[in-house]
Amino acid sequence: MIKPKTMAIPFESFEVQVESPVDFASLKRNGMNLDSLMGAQQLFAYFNMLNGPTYVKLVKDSG
Amino acid sequence: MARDPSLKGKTRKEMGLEPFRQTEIRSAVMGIPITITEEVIAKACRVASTGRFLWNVSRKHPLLEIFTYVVLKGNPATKLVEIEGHHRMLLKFITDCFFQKGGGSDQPSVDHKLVLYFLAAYEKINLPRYLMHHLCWAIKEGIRGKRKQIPCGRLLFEIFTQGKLLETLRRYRLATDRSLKTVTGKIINDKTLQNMKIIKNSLPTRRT
Repeated sequence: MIKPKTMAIPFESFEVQVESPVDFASLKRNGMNLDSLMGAQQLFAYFNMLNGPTYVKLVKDSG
Repeated sequence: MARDPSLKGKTRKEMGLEPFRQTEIRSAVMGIPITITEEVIAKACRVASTGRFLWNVSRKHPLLEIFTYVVLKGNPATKLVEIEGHHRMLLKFITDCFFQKGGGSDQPSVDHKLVLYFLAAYEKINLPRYLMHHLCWAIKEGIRGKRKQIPCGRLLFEIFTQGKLLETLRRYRLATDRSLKTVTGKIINDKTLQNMKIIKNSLPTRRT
């Protein structure tokens, strides 16, 4: 049986961390070409997703 | 179980609980239930949950030797700020885009060193599985009162939107962009390269 656990941290002190979006074009122009490294990971769609907005309050509400 | 002894020995299904299939994170946003599994994360990330995944590796894991060879150029004393520019960028992705931790730039764990190795060696990592573990880790730390940050804000939000949650909230005028507090993370670009001292000056942005 899983014991229900509650967090002792007050709701207000929670802090939502947001992932950093990456500007690959800007990096590439400055000699940091990550196309092949990231291509191998098939992660471009993931980084595209990171470009979107985050509604902090909603994430916090679910915490 | 403690409340009702007649339930003893029965399966989860018989107790009226959902069957245990895999690790799940259950949550509810404004009363709407949400279940987070590895599959859900994979869908939100648009990444297949295949590839390398190692967790809780020992400090003597043979791959760590290859890590030293590939990333640290064979010298275990190499500091992570001294490694090659591309690899430093990958490490930045690990700490800022995949697995955020509590403030300060602490040393990556052994597990995260292996992630860096996989990235540097063109070996596909199982990002959804890593992210699932990271979320579970953050929850456990939270329960122990050690952490108050919620990582992967963008990803979690993506999961909620895919569940049509936002549509529902908007339809009933329960949420607007302003009331929900929209933010975007700090962008990694040419300025970051400058700050990390990988390049001296960034090229001026071309007008298109």
